[in-house]
Amino acid sequence: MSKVMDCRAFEENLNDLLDGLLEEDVRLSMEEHARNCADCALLLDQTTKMLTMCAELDEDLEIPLPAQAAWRKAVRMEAAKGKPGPNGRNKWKVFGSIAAAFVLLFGATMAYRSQKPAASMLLGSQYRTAATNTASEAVYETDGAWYADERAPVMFADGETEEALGVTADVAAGDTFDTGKTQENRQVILRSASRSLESNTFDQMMESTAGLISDFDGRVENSTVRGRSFEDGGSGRTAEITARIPSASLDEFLSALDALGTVTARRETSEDVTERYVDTQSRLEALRTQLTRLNELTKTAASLDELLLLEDKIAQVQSEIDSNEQMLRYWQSRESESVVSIDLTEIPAYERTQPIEENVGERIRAAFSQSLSWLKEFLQDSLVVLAGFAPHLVILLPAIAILWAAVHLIRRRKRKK
Amino acid sequence: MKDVPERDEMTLIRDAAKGDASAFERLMREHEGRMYAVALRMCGNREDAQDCLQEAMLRIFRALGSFKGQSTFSTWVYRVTMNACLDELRRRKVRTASSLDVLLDNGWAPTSEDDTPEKYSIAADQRRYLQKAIASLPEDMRAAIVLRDVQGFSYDEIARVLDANVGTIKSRISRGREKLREILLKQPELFDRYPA
Repeated sequence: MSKVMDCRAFEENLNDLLDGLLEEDVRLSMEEHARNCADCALLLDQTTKMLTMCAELDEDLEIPLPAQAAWRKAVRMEAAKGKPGPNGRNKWKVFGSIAAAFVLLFGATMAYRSQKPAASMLLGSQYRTAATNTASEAVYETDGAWYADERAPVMFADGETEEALGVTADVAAGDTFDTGKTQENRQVILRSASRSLESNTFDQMMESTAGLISDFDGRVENSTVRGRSFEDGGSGRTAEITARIPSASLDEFLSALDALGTVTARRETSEDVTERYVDTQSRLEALRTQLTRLNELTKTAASLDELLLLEDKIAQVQSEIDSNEQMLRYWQSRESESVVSIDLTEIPAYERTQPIEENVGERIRAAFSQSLSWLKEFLQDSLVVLAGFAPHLVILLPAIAILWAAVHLIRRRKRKK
Repeated sequence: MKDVPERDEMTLIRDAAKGDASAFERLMREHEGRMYAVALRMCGNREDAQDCLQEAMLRIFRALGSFKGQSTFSTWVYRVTMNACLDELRRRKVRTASSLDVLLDNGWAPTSEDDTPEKYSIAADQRRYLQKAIASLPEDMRAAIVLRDVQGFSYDEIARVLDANVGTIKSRISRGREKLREILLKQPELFDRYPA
């Protein structure tokens, strides 16, 4: 082994040597090396002296009396405030915090259950109640915003009336896409609606719905019935119907539909595609002009290559024209016919059978079952309330953290004083 | 090295956990000197050391109820002390002891003036210079060097106190000693004046 290698190994093992962690033979070889290498001997000497200095640094150090007195005073003051740790004062703090949180949650849940306006404002949400057939109680949703009945969705721009739909019908009837001035100010609005109804006379409701669609010149796009009736021992039937109703008579149709059962949910949306419609029309017009010019150019083509290039371009433009026409046709179809999704649910006939005489066991069972049911509903509502609070926590939590840090800092400074 | 027998220690811990300040003072009597020494070497001055000692004592007093004996009491005590020192150093970053290199560059030199109440077995300037050199080490190396070379803790104990594995501690100590020697060599007469 060369001297360089020995020195490197010496340096690597130096700490273990000083800490007394080396095997006897390694220790002896290091001592041997130190005797023959002045550099390593100096390193060993300096490091040994340094460690001796360190070890002696605090040999006679005594804790100053003011330091002893200061911590004792601080601990006694802490003890005087109350028992330390989770067995003492902090335990009450924890219990208090949990109790306060529970009371808060209980209060918020009860407020939610009673559907107080204050709770709704606090949670920043609106209640979608199971609407009855009374029109004034209905709630509509349009483009994500909820309105009371008197603020029914605005389907047309100011000044426009149902005559506009007359224009729509005219356009839908034709298969051309004129961009004349008559269409410039027209709005193209696609309407959709959905209703959920329930009734204990499911068959009658189904029949009436089908009849209603037919009466309004609509058509059923899709219809699915699931489940078994209560009479057959099932848990009731449900039906999902998708219908197309002429937009001109959509409102009238919906009013008639609402009378067929109890409405549990209603929703109406309208999408304004006027801008896209006009853009597509303009593009279509430009494409047609381009197609006419290309067709004219083919008549004067100088070579076969030129002719082939022109034909390729014509095919490309024609394809774009087809695609744009298809889009316009779709919008016109959707504009003239609104989509209505109807969910029908069969509910059991309301019957109340009162036992002639209940014994104590039955009464206990009934009371327990009732309490359990209440608890289940309460917990579900609590979850809803917590979920409603979640967005507010984004602001509340940092605010609480800052407050806590400030209080902690002030207390700490007071303690030091 | 225990002044308080283990059974008594557990009794004192239980009493102190219930809020008995006297029991706590008895319990901590054997640790306070070493805790102060660790704090002094970590912070580099007596005022901050006193603050850290007080903070560590309060933390221990408040947390005694949750001490379940996962580690020995003394290991836990020095861990809390070291954490209090590191927290203090981080909080007072701008106030931490100036780097020795900067002091030397500015013309600082050890003096023979003995202005501390501690008794010295080595020269006061040598002691002061060594203290400054230790205080100028990075925090992780300083903690390991103070516990190992100044306080004489074993590698295993240091690993438990600093919550790191033994390999990491060995590496910190090795690098710390190298750095400390480099700093001390800027005043080579310190070694000459020290007996061989």
